[in-house]
Amino acid sequence: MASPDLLKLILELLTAAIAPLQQLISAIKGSSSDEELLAELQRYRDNQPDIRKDLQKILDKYGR
Amino acid sequence: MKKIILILVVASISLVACGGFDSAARTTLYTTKKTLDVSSEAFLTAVDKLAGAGLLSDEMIQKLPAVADSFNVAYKMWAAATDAYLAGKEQETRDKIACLVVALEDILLAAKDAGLGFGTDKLAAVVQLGRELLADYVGVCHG
Repeated sequence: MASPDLLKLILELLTAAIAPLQQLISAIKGSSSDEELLAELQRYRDNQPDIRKDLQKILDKYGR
Repeated sequence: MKKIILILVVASISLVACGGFDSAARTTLYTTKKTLDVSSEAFLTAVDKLAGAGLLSDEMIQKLPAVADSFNVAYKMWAAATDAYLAGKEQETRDKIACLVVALEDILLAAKDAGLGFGTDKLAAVVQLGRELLADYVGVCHG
């Protein structure tokens, strides 16, 4: 049977390990939000605006 | 048991530390794109309203293309940084984000020169985010 000190140490280590373990699991699995973010970046990359062209349209509208 | 837990903790911390740049770069790129969209839209709306009210001076009209061009340069730099990031090229991503930060600062300068004040506080916040991301890494803008 383990001593109380050893059990306490194991409990402390387990508690300290929870947060990094959760991040470890997310990093390995790849969370859905990460995947969505990557998909968004790709989508944005493929649809770049042209602000100069948009500006010219506005100026043309007012004859400037 | 103790050894297994210790190994797991060390492995977790190492993995998270390694993924630091990846996560920060993704957030910076996403936030920058959103902010560029909001700011460029605010810019075009401001021009539309000023022109509609007949408040655009000739001097302002001459300076507006510089603002629009600085937005286009920033979008181009954002695309280059995103391409590098999506290709998994970490050093190139850092370098391109360094260029992106310069491009964002140029928008702020062009907007100030044209006498416009559209969403520049948000842009300034993104410039700061880019600086913080690059603070611990070596990144060089090659122009």
